[in-house]
Amino acid sequence: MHEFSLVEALFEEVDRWTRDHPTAVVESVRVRVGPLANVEPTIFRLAFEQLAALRTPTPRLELEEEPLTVACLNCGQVTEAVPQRLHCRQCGATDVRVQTGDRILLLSLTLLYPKSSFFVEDTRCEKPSP
Amino acid sequence: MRETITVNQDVLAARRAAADRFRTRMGDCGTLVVQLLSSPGAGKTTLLEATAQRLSQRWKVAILVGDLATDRDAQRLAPYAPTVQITTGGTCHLELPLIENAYAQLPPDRYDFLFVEDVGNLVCPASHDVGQHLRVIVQSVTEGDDKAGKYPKAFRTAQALVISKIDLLPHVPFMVDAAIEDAQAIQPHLEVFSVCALDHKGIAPWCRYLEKQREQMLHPVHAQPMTSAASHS
Ligand SMILES: Nc1nc2c(ncn2[C@@H]2O[C@H](COP(=O)(O)OP(=O)(O)OP(=O)(O)O)[C@@H](O)[C@H]2O)c(=O)[nH]1
Ligand SMILES: [Mg+2]
Ligand SMILES: [Zn+2]
Repeated sequence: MHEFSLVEALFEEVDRWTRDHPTAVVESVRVRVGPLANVEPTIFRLAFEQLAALRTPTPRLELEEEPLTVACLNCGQVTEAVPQRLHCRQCGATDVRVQTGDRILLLSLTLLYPKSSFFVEDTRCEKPSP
Repeated sequence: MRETITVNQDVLAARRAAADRFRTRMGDCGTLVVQLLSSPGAGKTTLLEATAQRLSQRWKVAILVGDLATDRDAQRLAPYAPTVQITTGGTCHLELPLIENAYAQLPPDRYDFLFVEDVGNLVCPASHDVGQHLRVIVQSVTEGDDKAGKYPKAFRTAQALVISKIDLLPHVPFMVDAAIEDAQAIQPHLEVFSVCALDHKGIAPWCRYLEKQREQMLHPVHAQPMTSAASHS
């Protein structure tokens, strides 16, 4: 059930990116996870829904799969691999660096600037002049 | 108005950076942080009893031990080294803030080795960098020799594998070579040790490995570069 902790980390990252956009709200979050990210997508979605429900409006999750690829330290090729056998498809070497598929990647955020956020500025104009 | 911001950021990067700071701070103090991962009951605490007993003859050893509930493991380890129990109350893994908090509860000292026994679970702890220099998997022979392929994240992010309870080998169908092969298909650089912690068989080479790793941390010139973030794959 560590997916909750991972989704918390996701929202921490989201908040870091939206800090500079104080009037914006997050409409959707695009995330990519790979086979070696240690994430169960269904549980991840559930955890996301629960934590997203604490926010208004509730952000939507777009979850994508990232292929597991390894870069060979022997021949330099980048090939696809399976988690239980991390080797180069080209030359068979086991000395490889995982290139993608072992992480939870926050790809992008879609932000909405709701009308109400402009009211904040409007009220300044509406202040009764002395 | 709607706007899409491109981010392309690993969501655990910030936490990993915090773990890196802890790792560096501990390394600067001469403390090698060793995290133990295994399924429940594989023998982490028994291994630590034997390890702490041996290492504490020469070195200052401290232990942090995580469990969902009770301080039973801390009570077992306390005779051998200062130990702080972390009870997670249901959480399936340790995270850096818990480690930092528990570390602050140890008697203030310059420790040579800080062992972190994670919650018995091969899944969740694998995703969390607790600021360790070494991640060690303990796999007991009673679990079967096919575990590595089923828990690839844990094995990929580990530097060593301790095959435990080898006194039981005559009683269970466990092929040591098959287990090692399975593990090294995921992590070819894995160092492997076979131990029976109950009678201390294999504890000496395992402890020598730990001493060597600490030596390499202190004097990295002669050493293979130690991965700065030990849990990077
Ligand atoms: N036969 C045998 N039994 C062992 C050995 N090491 C540990 N055990 C037994 O295995 C059981 C579990 O050992 P622990 O050391 O508590 O295992 P653990 O991994 O710390 O367990 P949790 O913290 O609960 O996940 C105990 O009954 C130990 O006595 C060994 O080398 N041989
Ligand atoms: Mg234990
Ligand atoms: Zn290759």
